Amino acid sequence: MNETLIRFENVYKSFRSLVVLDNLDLEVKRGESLVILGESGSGKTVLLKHIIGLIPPDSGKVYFDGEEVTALSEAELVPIRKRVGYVFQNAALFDSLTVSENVAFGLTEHNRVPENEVREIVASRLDMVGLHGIEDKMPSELSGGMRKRVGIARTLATDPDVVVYDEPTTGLDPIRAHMIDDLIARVHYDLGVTSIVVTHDMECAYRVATRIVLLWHGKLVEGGTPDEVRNTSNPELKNFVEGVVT
Amino acid sequence: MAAGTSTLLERAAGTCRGVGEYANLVVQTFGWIFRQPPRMRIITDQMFRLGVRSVPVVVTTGVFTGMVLAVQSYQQFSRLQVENIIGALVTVSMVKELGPVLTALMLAGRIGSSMAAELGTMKVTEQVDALRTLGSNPIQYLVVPRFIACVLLAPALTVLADGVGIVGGWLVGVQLLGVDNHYFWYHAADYTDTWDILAGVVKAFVFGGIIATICCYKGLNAGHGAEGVGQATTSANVLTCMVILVSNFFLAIVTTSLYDIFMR
Repeated sequence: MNETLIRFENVYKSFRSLVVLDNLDLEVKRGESLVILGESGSGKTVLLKHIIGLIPPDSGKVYFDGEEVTALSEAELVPIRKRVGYVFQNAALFDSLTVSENVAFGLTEHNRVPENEVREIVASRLDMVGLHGIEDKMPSELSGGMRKRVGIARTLATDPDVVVYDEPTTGLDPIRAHMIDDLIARVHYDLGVTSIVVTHDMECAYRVATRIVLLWHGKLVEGGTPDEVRNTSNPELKNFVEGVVT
Repeated sequence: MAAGTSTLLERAAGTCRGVGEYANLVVQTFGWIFRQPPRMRIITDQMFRLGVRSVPVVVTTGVFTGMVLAVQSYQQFSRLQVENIIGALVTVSMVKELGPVLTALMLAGRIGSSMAAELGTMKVTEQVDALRTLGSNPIQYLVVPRFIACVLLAPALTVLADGVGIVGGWLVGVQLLGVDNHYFWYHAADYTDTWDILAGVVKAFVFGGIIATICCYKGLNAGHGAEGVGQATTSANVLTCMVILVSNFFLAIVTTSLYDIFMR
């Protein structure tokens, strides 16, 4: 678990006068489950999207498994994107496709996977996320929690090396949120994927993380393990964890 | 004064950037058509949604345009006692100009707005980003099928509009206003060249491409939220209509010049 898989080197990103990432450095080790905490609107999603080149930085470099993401064209990024699964905050399911077609999308668009094999993989991934018998439903017929789980199933269908979760429990009730946390932990431990979870939900962070950092005013504050974060003396981290308004 | 100049320069820069991005989308669209054409199922699905469901509005537009042409021209021509030439006027007008242009404007309103809204909604709900994370190119997956469908359907629907427009003109001219049936069709055939029909079809091809590319571009660049999608849809419709009207003028010059060079 010592090899660096993802690296941010002096990454700077701003939108007009708002600085979101301020010469940020970050290393994500292979096999870890990293949680990135941050206030709403602090730039956590912007940070995530830099990993696979959805957003380019104003300056600085991003590396994935030794390859410089920031130097690649859209076409050259495809192999990296196939290794990184991205679970969007609102699932981003394709409205015009059924649940089954959504989950199978990464398999049917680019890979010559036989139809019966696709069906098996779709059924297995939906089973993994606790959904059964909804293959023919449209995304508009699903609840928020079900859409998030289908989004996770779609990401897992292509067996990625890394799974990135953008606020996976936002908007869910405590029971559904706990289910998603357990799912993230199971995916990490059972499938051996490297996880990066962006959240401001401390319960989620404590349940799924092996390491926690805080995105604070464009820079990262290192927190450590969940236990270390619970007992931190770092003022920014302590105030965030305890919900203290400064 | 300085602030006003700065704003003007910013707008000019924004317009240039937009034109460049649109040109890039058009080039990429053609590139993907040859590099990785979409599946036939996706194209036929788009053709059904965009084309088949547009038939009622195209037929209505064509019929009533032909009928209006007959009504308005009869009033003028009957004074000169040349009302029998109405067939020629209706046919040539429909085939060369009104058929292609009015069909394109109706399609811009119906399917153009729909495409801009659909893609705009996909953009603001991160579905376009999801496509990219799953290794798909948004232009190859979203724009190319719509472009192919529009370019194939616009001429077909234009010919339909021409046909029903001529029939509409015949209904009013012959059945209601008493123009001679034989001379209606005689002059219609006599004054209409194959070139006229061809020119109208070529225009329709171009207009179909304009509708697809502009509306897809606006949708994929929609701003945030419902307001952004609404603005993109309105802007797509207005811009498409304006470009159709402007390009129609230049296409008319080109087709007329080519006719003079090759057919005379």
